[in-house]
Amino acid sequence: MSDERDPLEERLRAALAAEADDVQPTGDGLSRIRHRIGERHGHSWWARLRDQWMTRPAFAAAASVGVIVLGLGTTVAVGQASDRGLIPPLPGTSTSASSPTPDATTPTPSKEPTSKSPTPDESEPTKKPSTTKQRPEPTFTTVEVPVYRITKDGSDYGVTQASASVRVQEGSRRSEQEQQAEGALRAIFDGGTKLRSAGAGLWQDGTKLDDADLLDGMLRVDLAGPAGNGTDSSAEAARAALQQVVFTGLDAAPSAGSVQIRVNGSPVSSFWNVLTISPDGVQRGDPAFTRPFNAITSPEEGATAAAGSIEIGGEGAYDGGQVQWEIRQDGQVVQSGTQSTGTNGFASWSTTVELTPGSYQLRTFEQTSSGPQHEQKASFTITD
Amino acid sequence: MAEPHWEADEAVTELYGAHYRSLVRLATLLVRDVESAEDIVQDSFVAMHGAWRRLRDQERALPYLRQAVVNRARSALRRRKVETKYAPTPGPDAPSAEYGAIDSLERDAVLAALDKLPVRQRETLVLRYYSDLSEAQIAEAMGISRGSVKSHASRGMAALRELLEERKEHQQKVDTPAEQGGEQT
Repeated sequence: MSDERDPLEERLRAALAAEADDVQPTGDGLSRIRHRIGERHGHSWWARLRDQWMTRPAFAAAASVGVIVLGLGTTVAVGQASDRGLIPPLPGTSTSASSPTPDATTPTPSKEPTSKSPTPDESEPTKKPSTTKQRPEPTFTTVEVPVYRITKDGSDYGVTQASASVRVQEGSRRSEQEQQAEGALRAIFDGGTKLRSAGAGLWQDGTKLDDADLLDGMLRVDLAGPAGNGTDSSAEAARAALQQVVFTGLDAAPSAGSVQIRVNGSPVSSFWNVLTISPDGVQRGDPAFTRPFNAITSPEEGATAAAGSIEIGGEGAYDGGQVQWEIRQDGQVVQSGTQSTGTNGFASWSTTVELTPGSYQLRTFEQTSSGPQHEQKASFTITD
Repeated sequence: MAEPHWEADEAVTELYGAHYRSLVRLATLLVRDVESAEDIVQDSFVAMHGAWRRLRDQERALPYLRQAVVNRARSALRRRKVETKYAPTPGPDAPSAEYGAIDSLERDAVLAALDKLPVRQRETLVLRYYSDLSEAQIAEAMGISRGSVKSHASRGMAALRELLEERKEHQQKVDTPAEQGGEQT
């Protein structure tokens, strides 16, 4: 009985085959690909020569002297520039892949950005080994840095910007950016479950941030503990968790071009055993892929605020540019409204509501003909 | 016996000849739009050209292209969702059965149901039943485990079955009242 063919399989196979048979690609695909390759390489002649020089040493002798000298004179840079120019990122998938898979081939700036833009921040740690320890009284300033939290929308994950206060020590041998990045990432890993698990408990319990340091234009994020997935082992979840770290780290340390994920001191090439990532650094994912369709930015889950005017708001891409919101208390809707963003694309919105002390839940969603979609909730408390 | 050694440009030409059409068809089934599908596949070829030095093994080229197509199709759908929220439906159901367009109706029904599945279930079913890939190949193309492929496939088929049943029931309801209405009056 179980060996019987499922007629639905046959129907599906037949429908797909029939639909595919109707597809007739235009005839100029190859020339368009070649044109795009040329555009991507900029000076395609040079890219061709470089490629061939890389793989066929004998070609070097036949190639122009100028090219060879340039190649030899900047050995490292040429190698890296080649990687950067030749290996384009896949939109929205800059991190998943297997050995050189489309995803894993995200440009990896590696050491190059340092030479291009050595900032005082980046070079400071190596210039000043540990001679500043005599500094009498460390002075701290508090700065607000963006921290990304993960939102889940159906089976889609996204990262949404929130913020955290980070203390930065003035005159530290660690650069300001490095301290900001570490502080922001600590808010994810050590700051309780709020940022880690808003919408999804993605990281396995016990995962900690060990260290974050900025070196050669790359932010090295060293994790300790299991550093694996919690409740969801899907590649989607892994991408979101990875991009949460990447977005947070790169926003806090703008001079970094990529984030290297390290676990217990060593760079890793596998993330949660589902994504292959470049040990030379991961870049920011395509926003269109990583941003959620609906997210609540205010109030944050678990927030407490004093009674009075409370700002509620969010961001997303809403059907017809309209987002619905409801404030519930004990399951009953106490206030509701519709907010217009004026666009179907990504936009943020906010409005204020008057609330008396109590526990509330904000629910936002977009109303479609088939009912509410992309629903998000955040619970918060209003005090006297 | 040894495989010919291709340079990146040659690889593009060879693989284009062998696989371009089937990849465009695969992408079309995923994004339901030929123009976007061609863009996706062309982009994937450009990416493969760029990665050629790292790919080394030309055996890896087709899996690379498939993975690039699946990933880019997913991104394209997301972008489209952002721009228009939902892709315009292809229009009303097929014109009518009176011209003997049963095949077309059947195809549309199956594909419309397929369109309603979550992206990963749809990808799995297309890769399995159009591209005839093995579980391992699907897992590679989608960047997921074989276990997930199984789960997406079985859930996808179950959901597809349910959707088609619903449609059938709906169709029967639409057809029946007319006859009953005649009896009542």
